[in-house]
Amino acid sequence: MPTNPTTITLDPVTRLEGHLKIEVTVDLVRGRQEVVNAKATGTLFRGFEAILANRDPLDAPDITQRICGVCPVSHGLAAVSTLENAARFTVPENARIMRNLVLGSNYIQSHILHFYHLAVPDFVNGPNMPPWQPSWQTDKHFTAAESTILVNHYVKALEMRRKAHEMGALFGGRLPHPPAFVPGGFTTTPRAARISKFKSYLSELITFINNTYLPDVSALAGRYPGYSQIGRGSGNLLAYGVFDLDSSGANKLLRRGRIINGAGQWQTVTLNAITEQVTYSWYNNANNNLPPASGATTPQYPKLNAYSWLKAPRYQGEPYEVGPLARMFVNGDYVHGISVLDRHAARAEEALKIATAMEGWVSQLNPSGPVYQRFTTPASASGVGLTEAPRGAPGHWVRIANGRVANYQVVTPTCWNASPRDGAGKLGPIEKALIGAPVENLQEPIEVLRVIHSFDPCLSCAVHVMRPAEGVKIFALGHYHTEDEEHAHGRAHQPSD
Amino acid sequence: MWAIANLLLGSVGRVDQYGRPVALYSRTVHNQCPRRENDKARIYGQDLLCLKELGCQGPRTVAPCPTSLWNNRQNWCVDANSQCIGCTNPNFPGTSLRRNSDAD
Repeated sequence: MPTNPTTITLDPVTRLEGHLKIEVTVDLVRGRQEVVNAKATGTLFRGFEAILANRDPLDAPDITQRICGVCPVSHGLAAVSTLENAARFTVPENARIMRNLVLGSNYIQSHILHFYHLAVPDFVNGPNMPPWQPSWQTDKHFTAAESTILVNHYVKALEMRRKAHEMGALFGGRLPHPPAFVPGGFTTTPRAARISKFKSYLSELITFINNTYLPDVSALAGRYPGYSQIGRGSGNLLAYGVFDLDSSGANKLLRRGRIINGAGQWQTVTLNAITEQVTYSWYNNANNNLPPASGATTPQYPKLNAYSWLKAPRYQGEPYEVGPLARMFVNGDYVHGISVLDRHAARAEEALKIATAMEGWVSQLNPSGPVYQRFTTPASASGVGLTEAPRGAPGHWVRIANGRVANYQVVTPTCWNASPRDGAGKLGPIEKALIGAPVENLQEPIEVLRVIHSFDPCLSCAVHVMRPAEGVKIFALGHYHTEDEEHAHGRAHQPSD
Repeated sequence: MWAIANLLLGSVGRVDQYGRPVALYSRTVHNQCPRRENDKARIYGQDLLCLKELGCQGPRTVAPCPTSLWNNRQNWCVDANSQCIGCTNPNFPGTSLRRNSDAD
């Protein structure tokens, strides 16, 4: 037990996409050792907005897909929607449906990836081989027999992910980064042979979700019931909505909306209520609290008090959680609590809901119908594209002048979830979710990782290094080094995951 | 997969100036493309047509896509009626990706 508050830094937090650092302060609260402060740091400047400036707007779908290899489809869809919104353009039915099918394929692979390959290793003590060992031993509750089953499912899930990718590639052209998403519709034709193959893959994936994924999530809840009370976060939930069911987009499989503080009525989403704050971000304060439509990306590093490359998106000044739990809650499909376990359960139930809907959609394709109508980029216009990625709500904003990109802004889902503090000092959802989380073993703060991973941040691997600030102890996955050793060894000794 | 398997076996053989295995990156997409002598597409969404008029980067892109295909041989960009955008080029995305332009 510490006699003073101890600060632990997880840098990078691994088994997620990209670059995230989390710093938590742990102290005794009413006799229990728990997190009393947390800071989330996006450690990478991205600059896609700068890449897109002055380019042909038609390049946006291909370029923004490269933001991420796990959820490129959502950025592709957001970008084509943004340009079509600017041109007031409606795509043919086949295009709407094939976009949904490729996006759905991506959700299925991403949700399976998240649970088995990113989250399960936080709870299961696997066999004595990489990537399972070395690992933290704290708070592992599954029996040896249960662990063996989950490890086998981890391997099976790799095959299922591959098949979900193959399914999506039938229409998308390839995955990741499918080339078939173009403003004006879709490039692939829904040939009968592709439809039939798609149905076959989908049937196998639905069986896996029903017979393996959902029961394993229930088993996790059975062994770790306390996690229904850990990691609540901001309590506010936001969904842009996704999977258009008609050409206007008015009806969606998962509707747009908000929930305030974990309860009550469904609320509307008004775009001009969204702003991005940069008080604690490495961007110039002259561009603080701007709506994304007129947003600016002006890096300033170093900057007093700033600690993240992520801006802090807020809705009416409030932090909001985005992701499967937000979508399922807003849609009325999952109205329970907000916690680590609720995030896993909502994500698995969403996978089944989407996969089941996809069976209907694939049957609606018309093999002889058009997939594309000629799209002309407006010389001067503004557009917005809102959709949902597996891990939450991305938005794209564009202003076109003289036929070129005058300004492009992307607000990613993880910007919402892993945001730093705002000007009013309100913590981002992950930061808030960490406050109060128990930490049994300061050397192995597994609880912190479980809370972070439940959000599926898109910022992939295991904990590389943690630095308790007061001491000179540096840890790398079960190993223990002094600061000098760490510097001498650099990162060469870290697991090469 | 080829590169990983060969690395495990010891070597990917000769590499080009960008560190790419020559065994994979020596022929242009266009020269391997089954559509290279077909009629030209003027609009998206039509099967079997050559995508040159839509700004296909295949003639100036070296990659094995037309023969290796993607995702366990399910598809590839051109078979999805989408032009090659040259994503293996060292200067990607240096030029306009989706149509002929002054930059080309």
